[in-house]
Amino acid sequence: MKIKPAILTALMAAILVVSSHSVESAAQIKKVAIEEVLSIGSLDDEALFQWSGVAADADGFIYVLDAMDYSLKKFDQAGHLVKKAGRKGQGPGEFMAPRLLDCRGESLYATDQNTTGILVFDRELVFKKRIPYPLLLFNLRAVGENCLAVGSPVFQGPGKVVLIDEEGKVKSEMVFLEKPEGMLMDSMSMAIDPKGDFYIAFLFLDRIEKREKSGRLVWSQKLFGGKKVEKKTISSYVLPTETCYKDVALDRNGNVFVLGGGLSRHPSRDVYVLSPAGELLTTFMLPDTSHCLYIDSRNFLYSRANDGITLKKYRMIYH
Amino acid sequence: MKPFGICAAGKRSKDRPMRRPFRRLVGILLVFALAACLCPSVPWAAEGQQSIGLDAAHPTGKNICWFLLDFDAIFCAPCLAPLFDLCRALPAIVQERQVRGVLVYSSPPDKERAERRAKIVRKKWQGFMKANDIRFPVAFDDAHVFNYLSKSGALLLLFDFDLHVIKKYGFPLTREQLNEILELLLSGDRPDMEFFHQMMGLVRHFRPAQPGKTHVLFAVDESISRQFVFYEFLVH
Repeated sequence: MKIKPAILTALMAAILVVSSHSVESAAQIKKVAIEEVLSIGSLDDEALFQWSGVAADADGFIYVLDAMDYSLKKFDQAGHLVKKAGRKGQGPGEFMAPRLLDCRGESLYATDQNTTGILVFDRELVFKKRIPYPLLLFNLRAVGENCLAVGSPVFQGPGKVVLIDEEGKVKSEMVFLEKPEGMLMDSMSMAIDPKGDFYIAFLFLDRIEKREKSGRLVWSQKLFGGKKVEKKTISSYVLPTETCYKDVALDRNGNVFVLGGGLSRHPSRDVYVLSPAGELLTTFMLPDTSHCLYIDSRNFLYSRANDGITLKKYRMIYH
Repeated sequence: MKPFGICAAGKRSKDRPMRRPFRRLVGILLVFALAACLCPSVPWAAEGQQSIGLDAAHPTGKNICWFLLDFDAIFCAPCLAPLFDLCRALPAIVQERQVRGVLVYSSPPDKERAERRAKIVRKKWQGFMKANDIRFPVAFDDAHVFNYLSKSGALLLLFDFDLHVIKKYGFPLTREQLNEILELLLSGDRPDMEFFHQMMGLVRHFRPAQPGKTHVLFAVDESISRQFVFYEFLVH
């Protein structure tokens, strides 16, 4: 059988492209550098006052919750304010203390620290509905097509992530902490990969974990040798006074980015990069302290500056 | 006119009231100190400016109230609910003329970061104030002289010109306290400002002793010298 040279060339090229891509995704990162590509909000403008949650859509629009003026804001790719919605209150589309934000398709999902449920807006910031949920929410991720993963305060019993549908109906639960030590309003941060596996960074424990949907532990990592955070007794409650980790996010290759807390050399600035298998690959430092990390679908990294007045967007360069 | 209900100043004991003229002087200076500290950038009235908060065009009520707010507390909506209730209940003109605030905040030790922190606090307050329709002017405690008073998050001092006392209210306020404050702010005639203006020239030469632990401390920014003058008194 004779193969035409043109077809052969095309086949070879395709093999090269596929193999080079697989090599890139499988290659372990040795170093991460970040390059600022956008900065929204400064000390001299009124763009942001205290941003809490951020999400970006596939078109590059950036959505930000602002806790200081109780609003949801939409910025274009150049960082210009396109629209603002919300105000203080508990009515439809209103906030008392906006906190977490996620984006999926045409919908934005927002939580409020002081009120239960999830507020749903469209990408034009038109309020659509409130998804009922009986507890306050401290974790939120949009998963799959009709699923939201939520985490609530741990009072008694195990810490768990609950998967709910768009009507607030519970679909399943994933237990990540069998025996919590005392009451914790906010105990972990989570990310979810396309397969539905969970990556959990504990706020007050030296522990980063990957768990399957069923709750089965895949791997666990301690970056500070199991060091315990300091605690203090306040009104008979023993409460931690510092954090181990503050947030976790996944890049498009499945690498795990963890923002370090008070135990880090540079608190709220050190970012630990772990492979999908949980191996520590490298560490880099944010220019300013941040309360969260967000990586969009195009692999841009977002973090905080100026104590929440500024949102920074970075291109990540892997070596 | 009776002086404010000042019980002690300097090293005087609570049991040894000051001589009447001196009490009167301290009372006047105290009110002036309050007015001045609420607007640190405004020069002294003796230099041709009127002190903010106690001018001749005082509106309907004659009493004034003064908020001491901890910047960290403004993130706690339930903690400040009484403040919002009060602001909602007061006409805008009363808020602007009779209510004042001082925002207390923590700051890093080095100068550069402290200046940045001061800008951040101002910026955030601007957003918070607009979103909550807060109309009363606020002075920023850049010298951090009020920090020790802000442990409870928020404090309200009401200057009652009729009784010549200063009433202290800790947060959260009860409904009864809120109603009392509203009534005191909305009633009465304008205060006798002539007497205050007569005393202004003496302020520069007045230096009380160190404040006691149980006393409220007032600080006055002398604008030019940047020195602070402390006044201490017991709050009724």
